[in-house]
Amino acid sequence: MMGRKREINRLPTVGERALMPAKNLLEEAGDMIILTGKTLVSAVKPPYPYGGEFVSQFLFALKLCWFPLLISTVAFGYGAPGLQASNFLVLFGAIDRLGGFFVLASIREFAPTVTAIVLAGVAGTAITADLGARKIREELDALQVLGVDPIKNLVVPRFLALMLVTGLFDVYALIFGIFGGIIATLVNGAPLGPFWATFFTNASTVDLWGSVIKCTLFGAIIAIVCCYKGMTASGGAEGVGRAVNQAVVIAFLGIFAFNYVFTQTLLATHPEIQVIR
Amino acid sequence: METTDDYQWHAGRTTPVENAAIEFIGVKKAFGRNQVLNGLDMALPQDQISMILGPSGTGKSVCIKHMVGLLYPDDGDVLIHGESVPAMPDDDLFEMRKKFGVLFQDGALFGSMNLYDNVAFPLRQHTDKGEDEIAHIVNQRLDEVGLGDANDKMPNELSGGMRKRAGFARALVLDPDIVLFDEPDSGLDPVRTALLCELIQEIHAENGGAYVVITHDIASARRVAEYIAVLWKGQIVESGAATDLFESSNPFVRQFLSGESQGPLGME
Amino acid sequence: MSAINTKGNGWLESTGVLLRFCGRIMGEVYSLKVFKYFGEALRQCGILILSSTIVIWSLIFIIGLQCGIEGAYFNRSVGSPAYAGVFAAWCDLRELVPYSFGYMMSAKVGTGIVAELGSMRISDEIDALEVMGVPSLTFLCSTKLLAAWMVLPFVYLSGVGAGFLASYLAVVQQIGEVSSGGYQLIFWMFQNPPDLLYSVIKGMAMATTIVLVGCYYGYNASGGPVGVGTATAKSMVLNIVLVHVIGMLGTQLFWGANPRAPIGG
Repeated sequence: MMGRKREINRLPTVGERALMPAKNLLEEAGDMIILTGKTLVSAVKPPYPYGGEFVSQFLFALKLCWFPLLISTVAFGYGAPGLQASNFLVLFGAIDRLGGFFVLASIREFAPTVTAIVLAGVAGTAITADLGARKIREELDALQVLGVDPIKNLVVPRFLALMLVTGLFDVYALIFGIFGGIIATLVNGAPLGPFWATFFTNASTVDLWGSVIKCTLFGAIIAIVCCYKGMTASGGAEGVGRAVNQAVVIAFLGIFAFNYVFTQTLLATHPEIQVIR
Repeated sequence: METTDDYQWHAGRTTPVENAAIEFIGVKKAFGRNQVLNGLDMALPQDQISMILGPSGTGKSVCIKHMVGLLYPDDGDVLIHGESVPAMPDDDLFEMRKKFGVLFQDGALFGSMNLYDNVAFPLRQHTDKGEDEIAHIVNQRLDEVGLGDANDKMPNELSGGMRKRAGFARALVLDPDIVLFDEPDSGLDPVRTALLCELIQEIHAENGGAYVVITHDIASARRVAEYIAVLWKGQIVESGAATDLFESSNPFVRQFLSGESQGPLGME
Repeated sequence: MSAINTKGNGWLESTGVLLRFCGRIMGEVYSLKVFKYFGEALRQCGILILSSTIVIWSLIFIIGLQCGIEGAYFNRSVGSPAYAGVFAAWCDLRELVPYSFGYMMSAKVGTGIVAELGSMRISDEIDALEVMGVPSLTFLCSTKLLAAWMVLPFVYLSGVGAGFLASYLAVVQQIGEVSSGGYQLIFWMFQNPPDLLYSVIKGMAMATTIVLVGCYYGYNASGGPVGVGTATAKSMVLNIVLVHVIGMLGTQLFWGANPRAPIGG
């Protein structure tokens, strides 16, 4: 077989292997932050040639994501917060609290994270594949030679479009996540009235805004990571595929790390919002 | 799509080949609406270096894939030493493929293995030879292609020409009866191409067997070919001994072999 | 044989092609043909362990922390802070560990397989294998599936451990409303070995699906490096949807009708 008795090349030691990804990751994180800065600056600074591209990227992401997101949010909402939490609440005789729990679970946590996961997996990978293809066909070099700034014309519209799409999809995910919760309530044979009652006593526009803003920031992370990975894709047969692979891994880790920090900060500063009324 | 006009230069003049190594009998193959092979009849001789020549996109690589059973014809038959490839069950097919060595366009070396392991791979898979014996064969083959001191390099550290020579060494390692070359000259400069051609000739002189080279490079054809088949639009225009073909009176063949812009073959 | 043109017209046809492909890979494993290439399977195991375990564990760990905090606050709100362990136990073991395992598997391993096999396909390496008389499907795909089955249960179990540890840290050390002993008591009371088994089954179902989908998209890639990139992106879409569907079906099957809790009805 491949590995049997091969002449062993010098393999990096275990320590090197463990640290290498960390070192590369830090370097790349630095590059991504620089890219974020450049993107923000060139988004604000005139001229604004990216309108058309923005609209087409927006529609592209919309078209690509709506169906996977629908299935994912209903499935997630029904399974995780729906069935398991209602099991838990039934123990305490408090199934009516499921509505309140959905505000906590779905609006604040699951809707944004599931939206982000689906968008990173669907729209983010598509962006990386697209930009990576342009990179290795030397289209990006050609643009620069023609005096067109790829950041302004390619990254900025994707960045803005993905932020907007992710923010909007958060609401969409919320609706279908709650739909999953409704199915779970009905499966448990409980009436829907108390579900809505506790839902609306707990839900506030602040929750909604918080959720949407968080999700918009997820969109920004996805856009930057995926654009960066696409634009730095290396040549060779494996180049673009590897870029997509790394983009989605980094995007996932980034989303969850950011989410953890966000939740921590939010809870530390506003402990009262986690109380089900 | 097709008009009778397409085939007006196909004289069908073929020198009969006795005990052919490879035969195509009325092979048709289409990908979607694109008819790549359109009733191809071709026979390639034993113990000679044959060349399949033709303009880009006439189905030369598709021919190779038919020979080793990676593609099956929609119609017609492909015979290797008189045995039908499409009719073989899978096990026989894998057995039959051991007769072949194939040099792919860019070498197709396994990116996860170094040069030595790449060349040793077929031996480890198909023979019970010990590592010492394998090392002997592999080093001998690598020396032959002039890569004796590069055997611990990874494929992506090699130049295009070196990858091809390494692929050649791997194709030879099981002493195949038939060696196929898919555009050995693509991506190489004229000097490297000439050196590779010389290598092919040398190794053929040493080992014998049927060598089939696919190319559109006339210079290499003049250098190494003993038998030539000119392919266009999925059929043979003319085939025969190389010396005959270079003297051919067929306008298409003459245009193609002298590489002129005037003649039946246009841009399309 | 191999490189058959697999472009389906409708999604139904594509599904059929995909299922047949997966069936062939699994068949090679079940018929033990794959053991002819056991060395390659072991090599794949090594790659899986070295390249993927750390990211999988770290994602699960972050999510375990999240579960812990949410659980602590939620239980405070229903007036039973001592029961934070229940939330953590269920949230970790039953839902979020499988999900985060699935997410990271599809991101790291699934797309990795597509990129690797896709590049092998377009640089003719798969054809080269076939020509050298090695059945490429068995050698490349079935060995990966076998490697996944050999390694991933352990990766998953240790991942569950990482999630538990994270939740413990969050609830007991960080929020600190429950004593260590009190948390542990509730935490372990509300789960038992079958729960763990069900969770592993859920995770393995996801892993198997992800490896098969990755093999399918990679093995059938075409169209140069660009095509490999597109195939990688597409595999991710399918994997994300399937992970969620498997998660839901698993929950419904294992805990839907029976909460498997030691108290109440």
